[in-house]
Amino acid sequence: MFQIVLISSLIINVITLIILFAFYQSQKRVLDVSPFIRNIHKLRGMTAKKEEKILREAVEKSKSTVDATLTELEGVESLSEEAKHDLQKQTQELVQQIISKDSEVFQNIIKDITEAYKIELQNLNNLQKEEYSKLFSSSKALLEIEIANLSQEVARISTEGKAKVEAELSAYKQKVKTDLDQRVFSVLSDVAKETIGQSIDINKHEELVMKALQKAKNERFI
Amino acid sequence: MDTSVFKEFTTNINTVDKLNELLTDASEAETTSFASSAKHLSASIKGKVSKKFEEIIRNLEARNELPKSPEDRSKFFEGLKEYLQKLPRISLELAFNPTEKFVNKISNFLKEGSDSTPILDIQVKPNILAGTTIEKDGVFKDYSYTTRLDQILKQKYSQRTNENV
Repeated sequence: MFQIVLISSLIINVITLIILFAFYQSQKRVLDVSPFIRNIHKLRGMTAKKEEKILREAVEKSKSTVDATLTELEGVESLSEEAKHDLQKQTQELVQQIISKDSEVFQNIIKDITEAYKIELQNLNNLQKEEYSKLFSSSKALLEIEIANLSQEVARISTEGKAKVEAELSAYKQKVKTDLDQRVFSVLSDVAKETIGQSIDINKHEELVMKALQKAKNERFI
Repeated sequence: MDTSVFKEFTTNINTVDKLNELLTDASEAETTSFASSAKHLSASIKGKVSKKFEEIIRNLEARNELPKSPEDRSKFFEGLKEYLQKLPRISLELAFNPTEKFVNKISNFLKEGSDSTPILDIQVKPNILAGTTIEKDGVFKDYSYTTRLDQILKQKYSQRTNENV
């Protein structure tokens, strides 16, 4: 019985491992997201380039603005310190405005990129969910069938084994009972014979012999 | 051959042991019949056979019922042996060693209503418990108590076993 359970358990484990390995293989194929990863990297590359371009343009614009201003200032060497201070202040504000404006553009681009990321990731996520769902359904169904078959097989083996063991046990019990009965009867018979034999005196013996002979004569045997 | 004379030899012969003694005496008398030229065989066999046998021979000689020639006497004893060996026999098993008196009682009981006295071959078998077993003409019947006891024990034991189940 123990061997049957052990063998059944081993069979279940082996089948489960095979199913899990198959599940793992199909999952590996479906979850190959390298194209999406490549897209993301591409987007990141594009973003970095755009970001670099915007900043470079912003810096270039502010630089050219300041340069143009200073060029203009070279013509007015007699400009007071206060006027220079105002001019620098205006220049800074102008640069700041340009950077802010460029920054706003940059933010919009980043936002677009982020949206693109989101869509890509969402697509990926949906695809994964869908594939997972399909895979899970098919695997689950397969597993359920396999487990059901296995359960039936184990139940059949178990029932057969149980019936066989019960039959053998019953036969063995009957044999033991018969042997025991025979031994008990034999001992009982021996003890009874010894006891009764010793308790019969010679007169009784002779009487019993004559009774037996009379019976034989009545039966016309002698 | 007239066997009526042989019945005198079988008086009180009711067991195999006694029959064998008689057969031995008959063989001795047959042998002596050739070897001795004595007029009276009883004198020649004196001391070689049982007193009872010697006495019967003497009585036959007195009545001239015993052949006189050695050849005829030999044939007589040969006939006696054949007669003795053909006597009906009954084998009995008893649980105890019987006295001669009880053996005679059995013999007389068996002789009642019968033409001949059966020769008893008695074996002592304590395991038969009591009663007797009888074998006659190759047929065996068990009138002992061992079989009856086994039957009773089996019945009682199986009853008790069934009650315990």
